[in-house]
Amino acid sequence: MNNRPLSDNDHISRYCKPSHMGQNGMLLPAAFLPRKGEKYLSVNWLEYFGEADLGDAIEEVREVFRRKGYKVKSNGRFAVLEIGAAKAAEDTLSIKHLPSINDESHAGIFGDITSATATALAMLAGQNLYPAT
Amino acid sequence: MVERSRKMQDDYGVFTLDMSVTSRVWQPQIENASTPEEIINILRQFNLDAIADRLTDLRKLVEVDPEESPMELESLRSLAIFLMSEIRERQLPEPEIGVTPDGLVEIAWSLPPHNGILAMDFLLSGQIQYTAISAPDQYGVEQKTASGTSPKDEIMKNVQSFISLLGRSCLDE
Repeated sequence: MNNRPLSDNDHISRYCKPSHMGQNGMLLPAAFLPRKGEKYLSVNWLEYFGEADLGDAIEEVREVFRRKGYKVKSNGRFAVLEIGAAKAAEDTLSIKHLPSINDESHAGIFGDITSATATALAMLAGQNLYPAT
Repeated sequence: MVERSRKMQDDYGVFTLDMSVTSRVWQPQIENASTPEEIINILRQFNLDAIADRLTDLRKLVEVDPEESPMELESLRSLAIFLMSEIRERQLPEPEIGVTPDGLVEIAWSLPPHNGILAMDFLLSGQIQYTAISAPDQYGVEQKTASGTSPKDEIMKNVQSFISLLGRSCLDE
């Protein structure tokens, strides 16, 4: 595990399951709430892929998910956050690179992720949603 | 037995009086329901079909995806009472509905004009955890925020200024 903090100018994506998207497509704060006992929120570091366009980087993330065998749903979404904006929303947050064997772009959002934090992140990321498939 | 809306006439014209709202015949039905399906059917009986459909869809997600969290019955019950007593009576727009990783039902509205969020999670205790942010800070407007945990009867007072952004004078009593 690398644990290197990522740059504020970089971007991360989080896969948002259908239950975390409202029936009319609104990204819900639930997408950024950890499960009980979860130490961080799993995300992907988009600049890892070296693509100039975030949409192209998301396509790389889709491929990573396919390789890992994680079945994303057509009515799920990838939500994108600028790291600096996420940290500004909650100053206890840190975003670290956590590469794994089958996912070199894997990263984590660490910190005090309360309902208020999750709402702030959903508000920011809700403006940058990409289809999951 | 569902009481139907009745049209009544007064000196000023015709208006609709929904007896199910004023008499709250739904309340013991929801409180005594023992399954999610019963609660969803009660909402459907009182014409909240779109919400009933959404809750049904959310329950079906669990059957096809083990990563999805099953909805907690007590959270659903709390939501149903809130929907009937607050959303419906105050004629608020229907909220977006989801489920948190811990199985709590979550509702949210996007707040105009800057895509703020008002969100509520229905806790197993019957209380409601709420968070509201009027707008992202990049719009250069004053950002109002509120968060906390309240009993159902107090929450609308706590989020009044955000509810007013939904464009209805729904808190006028």
